[in-house]
Amino acid sequence: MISVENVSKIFNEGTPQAFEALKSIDLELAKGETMILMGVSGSGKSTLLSLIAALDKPSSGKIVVEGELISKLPDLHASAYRAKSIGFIFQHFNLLEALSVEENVIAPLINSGLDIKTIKEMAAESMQNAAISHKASQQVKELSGGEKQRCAIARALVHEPKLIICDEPTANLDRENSLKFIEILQSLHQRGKTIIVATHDPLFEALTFVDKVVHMEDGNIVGADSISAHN
Amino acid sequence: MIKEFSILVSIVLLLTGFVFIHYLTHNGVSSQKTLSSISKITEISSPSLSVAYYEPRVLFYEKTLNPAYPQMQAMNKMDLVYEQ
Amino acid sequence: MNNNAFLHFLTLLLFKQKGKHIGAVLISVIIIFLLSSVLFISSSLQSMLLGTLESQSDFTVSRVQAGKAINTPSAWMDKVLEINGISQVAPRIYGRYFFAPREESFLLVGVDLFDEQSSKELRSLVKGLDLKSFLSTDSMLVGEGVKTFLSEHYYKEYFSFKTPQGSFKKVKIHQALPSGTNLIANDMIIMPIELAREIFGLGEDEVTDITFNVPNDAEWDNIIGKLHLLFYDVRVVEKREIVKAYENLYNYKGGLFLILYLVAMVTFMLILYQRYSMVYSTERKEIGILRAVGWSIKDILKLKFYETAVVVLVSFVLGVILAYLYVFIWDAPLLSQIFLGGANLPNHVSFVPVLEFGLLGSIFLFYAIPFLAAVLIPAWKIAVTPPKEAML
Repeated sequence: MISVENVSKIFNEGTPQAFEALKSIDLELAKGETMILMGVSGSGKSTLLSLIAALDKPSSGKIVVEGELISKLPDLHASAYRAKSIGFIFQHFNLLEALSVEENVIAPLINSGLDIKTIKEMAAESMQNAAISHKASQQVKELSGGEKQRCAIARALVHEPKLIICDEPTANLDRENSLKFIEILQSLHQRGKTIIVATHDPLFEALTFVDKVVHMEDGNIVGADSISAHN
Repeated sequence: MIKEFSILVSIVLLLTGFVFIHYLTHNGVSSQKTLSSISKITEISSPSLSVAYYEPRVLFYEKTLNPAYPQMQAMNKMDLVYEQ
Repeated sequence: MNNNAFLHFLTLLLFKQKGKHIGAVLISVIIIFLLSSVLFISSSLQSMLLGTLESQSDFTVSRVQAGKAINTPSAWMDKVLEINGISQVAPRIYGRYFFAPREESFLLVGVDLFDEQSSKELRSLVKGLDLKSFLSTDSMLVGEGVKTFLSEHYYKEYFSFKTPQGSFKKVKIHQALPSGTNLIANDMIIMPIELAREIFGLGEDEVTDITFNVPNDAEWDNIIGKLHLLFYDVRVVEKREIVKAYENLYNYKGGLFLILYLVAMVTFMLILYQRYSMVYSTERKEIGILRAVGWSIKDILKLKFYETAVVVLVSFVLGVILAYLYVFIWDAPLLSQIFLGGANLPNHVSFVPVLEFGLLGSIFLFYAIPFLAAVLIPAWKIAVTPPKEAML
């Protein structure tokens, strides 16, 4: 499903402040697998995720997702790829604060060509899955951290993406909410979604449904455990 | 389209409609006829501007009287225009 | 159907973030209201005055002495009539009568009421005018402003004019002129020609000035030359000069208007700056989020374009409509005083609706294009940066 070949990312390339965030990364992930990217802040996890989600472009190397070379996609196609295949859950939730939960959840589908009634039905289902239906009409700024996270999950799932990417999803949550999040993640795994989670939360270390744990440090992969035997 | 927006659009359309109806149905001809009529009778067509007779004709331009010739009126006085 | 969802989201954003737009809308409405009101008043006045002028004589001649207009001998009329190509020579007797204690003045006009045409016109203008009783005593018709002024000073039925001989002439206030004539006749007093002569001290052989027509406008300059040859002390006023004077008086390209444009422009710049910097600060994250959930640069620009277009259109239409109501329905209180003056006799004029669509269109373009640019340029700049950076 995902193949990352020799990918590097240099920020401020060609300037004295140039910084190499990723150094020749190679990675493979099969369809339906769940991968945890572990590492301290600044190790390059988030950068790798944003490259896979086509939010940014690598300086060199190739990223292929489902046979599509996404590392070289022009904007229009990159957006279409994000809108179709990616569900991104951010550390800071990145919700539109002025809107309600439902209005945030429908945002990815606005340009999908579907009519608003269908979109709202899909949003309702997604909110149901993320257990946030009861807050559908509440403004996002009035929600707690855990509720915001569930709203972000509902938004990430509304278009039924094949790949779900989570960047430090539990960094702003308490233990109880973090466990709830893991539960949702497990159910997504059971539904056959491919999942990548970047985290340094120890809660993710001993999860039974995880197929791969990759450790990163200074932009390099320093260790990868394949634990598919657990499944 | 949400309800508030529909309300706003209807208010704006309603007002625009009202203005257009007023514009199209207003009888400008009769107002013009009244004015033409009074100017035909009096042969005078200058607007009745409510300016004081000592007001300068050009705004902000007031040339004071020459103290050496007090009997001579400044050229920019309205009375010069209106005096019989 | 796909627009349906976009429209829903667009209107949602507009109303959920109305705090963002309300300031710009309010100030824009005020600026456009002011500009349009001034333009409405000026174009209405211009069209009314020029329309009235159409039926007026082409030339006016009067006698000048030391650069100052004095009474014109009526014998000039015959001499003028002798020039080929001149028709409809008529005398005018009028002048300002000063009410010295208050430094106010009226325009006294003598009208020959035995002239069939004039009396017929007057009867149709002033409803219920009984010419017989009007002519039987010394009477006058007064404009609305004069009527109000005189009654405020306890001249309810009569007013006594002071003649040059030092005697008083008591004249009955017969009736007021209809308010539709206010633009021209607010400070006007109409009386029989002989009475006006007496008050101004004009001799039998004198008039104030003489008007005439020259139907062939190719002859105009020729006629002026002939007049100057005929009389060494003549002043000729042409209708085209008066037309120009009216155009200048209410021209939107000069004087007061320029000051107004300047104020409007400075205010507008402030709104643009505020919108421009707002896109950079508060809308940056919003654009980043939408990009991250799959919106393309085109989608973002489409959203911002329509969002701004709605704000621009709504504020423009509201501003123009408010100006229309203010000027043509409520007769522009306060602002009309700037155009009509307020020093002598306050005037109240009902403006005839005149819409100059070309002018309104150019205001719209001058307003809409910079406004759209002030939002779209920063929005585009943010949209092309990686969404991850924009969301920071």
